[in-house]
Amino acid sequence: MSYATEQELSRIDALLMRVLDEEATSDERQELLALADADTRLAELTELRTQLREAVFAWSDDAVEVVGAVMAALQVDDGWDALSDGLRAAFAVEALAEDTFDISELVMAAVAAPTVAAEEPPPEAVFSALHDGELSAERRVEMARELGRDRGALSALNDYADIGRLIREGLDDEARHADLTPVWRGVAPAIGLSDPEEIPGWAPIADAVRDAVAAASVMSAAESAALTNTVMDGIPKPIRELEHADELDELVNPSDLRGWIVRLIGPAAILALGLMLVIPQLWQVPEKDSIEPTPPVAENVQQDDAIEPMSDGAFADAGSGMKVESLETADNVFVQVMQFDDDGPLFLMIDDVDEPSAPDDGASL
Amino acid sequence: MKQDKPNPQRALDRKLVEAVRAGDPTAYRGLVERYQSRVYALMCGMVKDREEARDLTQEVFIKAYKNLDRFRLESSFYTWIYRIGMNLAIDHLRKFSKRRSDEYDDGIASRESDGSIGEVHRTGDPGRSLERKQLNETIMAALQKLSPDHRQVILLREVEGLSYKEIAESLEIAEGTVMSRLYYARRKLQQLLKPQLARN
Repeated sequence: MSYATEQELSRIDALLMRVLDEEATSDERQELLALADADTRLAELTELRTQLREAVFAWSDDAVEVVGAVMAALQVDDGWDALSDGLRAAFAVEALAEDTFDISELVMAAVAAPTVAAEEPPPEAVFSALHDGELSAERRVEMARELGRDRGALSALNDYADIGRLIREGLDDEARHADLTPVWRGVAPAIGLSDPEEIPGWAPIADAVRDAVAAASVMSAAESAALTNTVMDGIPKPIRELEHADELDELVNPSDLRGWIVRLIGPAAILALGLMLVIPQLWQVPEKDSIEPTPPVAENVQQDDAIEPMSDGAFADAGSGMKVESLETADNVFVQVMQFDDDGPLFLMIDDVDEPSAPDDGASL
Repeated sequence: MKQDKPNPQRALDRKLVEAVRAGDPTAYRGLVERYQSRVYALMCGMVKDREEARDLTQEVFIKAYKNLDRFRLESSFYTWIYRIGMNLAIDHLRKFSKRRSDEYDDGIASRESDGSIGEVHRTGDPGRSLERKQLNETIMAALQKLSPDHRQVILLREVEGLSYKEIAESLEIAEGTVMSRLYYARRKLQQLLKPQLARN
């Protein structure tokens, strides 16, 4: 068995770099292969040598076909794991596509690791080993005596402890503050998951939910009309609600109601009142002596769907045929309903009494 | 005969690995999220740039996934992936060794006359978090001053808490080599971090 020497390994490394940088001459390529062949472990694997030869000199599809055989040869647990890993990675489809066949990893992983000559630790290294608790009990006792005499060694031990702590804290800090979400996002597509957030088994459920929602959104004309009617019935109609004025404040906020009624009906009422002032005949006010005794209000009120029954605040002007009803819809909202005839326009006058609000004493803050 | 205590962490890893092997790649997310932070910390120690560290972390998990059939269920998943991570980091450093000569000296930290790395001086809020950040930068810079071999052993010892035997097995080197490398790594860090250690 002959293994490449340290010098030969360095040379192999340098030559590989030149090959990878596409700067190697033909002689250098030959030298690289000769050096690799000199290592028995490589020489024994004929097919691997073929692979390397192909890879160094020219990329060939044929080289890829023997990968299976090489892989099988490398499965044995004989320290070739690193080389096997390297070959697997190098011959992966992505590597082929990118044309990034890195043989330095293969060769160096295979020949460099097992031939590293064991280093002889210097005598002082024993303090480092003592710090790591790697000495035998007897040796520790010996060292304890020595430490009592050697202040420098004691200080070195303290430094070793601090160095370890600083490294751990520094790296912990780095890892704690790092955003590692991209790691999974990068790994997922590489392992065949198109969506990194994919949940197994969810796709059929999502499809079913989507179909159900789509089906529900398609309505027949009859269904659509029924839905419209239901919705419209659910919307309170202001005039009808006045029949049950005490319920109004439960249905809508009086100030909201006032807002839209004033906006819609207010201008119309003002216009009508203006017309009445300009054209007095509209009022047909009788002479004072011609006024007949006014019958009890309740008898004179024409009952209809809109205004009934007359409350304490209601009155009617018999001469003009105008009926007015006053309603208090909420504590401080006052509504007057006016109608000139049974079929005439209906006017609503709404007023509210703003009560002074209590000053904010900040207690709620 | 004494029974080993069941390790719930390992049991969960095993379940997740089995689920992935059974055809549910989404279960792999559980493994990524459990270990990404530790792998990232290790990668931060090995390469100087955070973005590179994150890319390597991603690469570690992709590589682990592709080789998941080779993972032995009775082993620790994390031990397996940090070995993958260390190999990837070393390869990465080898590939980019040309461009990374003393980048830290120019950008982040400066050398003192005694060889130690000076504090990073920046204007702005002199709060505690900034101080911590500066210290971290100094430590990262010091780690980058070590050779990849020395960096590897110091991280496996100090961050992962591996024994000499475990480090030796993981890196396929002799225990004596571990002891030697650790000693030299510490001695160099002692020199580089002199001001910080003196303050402690």
